[in-house]
Amino acid sequence: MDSRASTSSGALRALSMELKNLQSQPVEGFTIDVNEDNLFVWSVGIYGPPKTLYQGGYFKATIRFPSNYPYSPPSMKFTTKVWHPNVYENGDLCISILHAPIDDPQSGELACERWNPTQSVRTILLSVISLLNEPNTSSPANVDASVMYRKWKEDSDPEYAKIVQKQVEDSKKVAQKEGISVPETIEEYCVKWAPPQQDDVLDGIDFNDDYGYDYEEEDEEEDDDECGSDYADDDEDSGQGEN
Amino acid sequence: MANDSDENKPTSTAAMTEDDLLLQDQQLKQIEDEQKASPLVGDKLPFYALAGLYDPVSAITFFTKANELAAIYSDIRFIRGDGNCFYRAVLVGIVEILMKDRERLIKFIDTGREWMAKLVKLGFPDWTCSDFCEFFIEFLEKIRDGKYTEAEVFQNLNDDGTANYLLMYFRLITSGFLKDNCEEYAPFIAEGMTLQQYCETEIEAMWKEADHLSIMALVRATGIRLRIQYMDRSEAPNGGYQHDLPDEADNVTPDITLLYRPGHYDLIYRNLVAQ
Repeated sequence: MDSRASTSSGALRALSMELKNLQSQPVEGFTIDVNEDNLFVWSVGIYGPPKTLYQGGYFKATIRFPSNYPYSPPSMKFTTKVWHPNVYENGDLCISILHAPIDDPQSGELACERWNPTQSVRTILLSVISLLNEPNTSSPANVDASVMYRKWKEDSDPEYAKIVQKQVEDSKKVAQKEGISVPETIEEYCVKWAPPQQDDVLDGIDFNDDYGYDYEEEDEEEDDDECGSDYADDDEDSGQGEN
Repeated sequence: MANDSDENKPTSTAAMTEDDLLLQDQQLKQIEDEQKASPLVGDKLPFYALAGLYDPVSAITFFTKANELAAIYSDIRFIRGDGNCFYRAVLVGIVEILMKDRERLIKFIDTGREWMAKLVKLGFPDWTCSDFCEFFIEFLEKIRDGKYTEAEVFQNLNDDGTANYLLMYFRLITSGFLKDNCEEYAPFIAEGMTLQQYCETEIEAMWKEADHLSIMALVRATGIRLRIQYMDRSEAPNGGYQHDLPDEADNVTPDITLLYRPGHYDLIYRNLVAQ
């Protein structure tokens, strides 16, 4: 193991900083539970956003970090059953931000919001929340869920909503058992914390604001992940034991 | 060592599941073990070490060129071929200059602060990017304040945890420079990709090799004068072709000289006695 030590020290530094940051300024809709003995595995709880199918739901997931984080992305796996086009049946989440950029820029694959070291757990969680309610059906991890989702969106079949609601109800029982009160209104959902005062490094520097493109842009639609084919027969994964 | 650009691309696969991650960790371990033979940044060796890598019979072209170049260059530092070699060679070259030139060091620290503010302004994720910048600035400040011996500086440059954090600063300002000069550089981006996407996936991501555009951007962003000495199979007089950046015409002594062999950069030093 000693050959890993130097690599992991960078990861540990990044992870403990991120954890501290998330504890002082939480991401709304998430709880994070980390065993300080192993910073490479995080347990997160996700509250279903109000006014969506997932309202009131409490979904648990595990985030695992590689030893060379933040240069390589973590993986995320739901431990609560989640019927969703971008979640494999074994719970693995498939989302572009958790993938390193593809090798060949000429291959025509659009590189949309791929992992690079400027990303963080915070940006991952924000992407997950937005993906929950707006699945990316162009490269589904769960094809059945994807087809069902489309039919539900077209108002031709309510099955998708039924399954999700059933899962939400099941998850509520778990939340109750664990003594967790899931926020159901937007007011409760939005975490109350004072945004830190920007210690304004920018003061006195005059930059031209017009860069001609929009950094906020989210284009999940154009995402073209390579998900969806590789893991179908590989689901008997019970690797949750480390927690 | 001659052509090792592809050996460390552990993360370029598509879907990362937990199983992948475990496998990837094992592969990383294997790669790391293999690479322990070659450090991130090698010691300064006599330039003749380069010729020693080539068989005088089967690799006669490279062998001959290496010997020709040895008349011009006295030393070489081999850089690990992990896709970061260009950025790492520049990082090491710059740090070596700054250790000897206090005025430039102080200026470089100031520029680092300006870049940190500028990156945020350009829309880079504030929290992570500022951390990379601060780390780099602190490193330089420690050199400024005499807290590191030269040996300790190189220890840091050879420690994955530290060295790759420092390296990210150079990737970020390369990307920042292109984004800041978007109009000028966007036309050079291959079709089907925006400059923003190019920066995020080809420059800001680790283990991605630098191409001509990113080389130009880093040279401009740091204000260094860079010479690239090419050593490939093409016929060229005096050991090979060389290229000066940012301006071919100005013909001044470069700050840093890199040796380019197909797919890889190392840091080389001119023979001062012969000049």
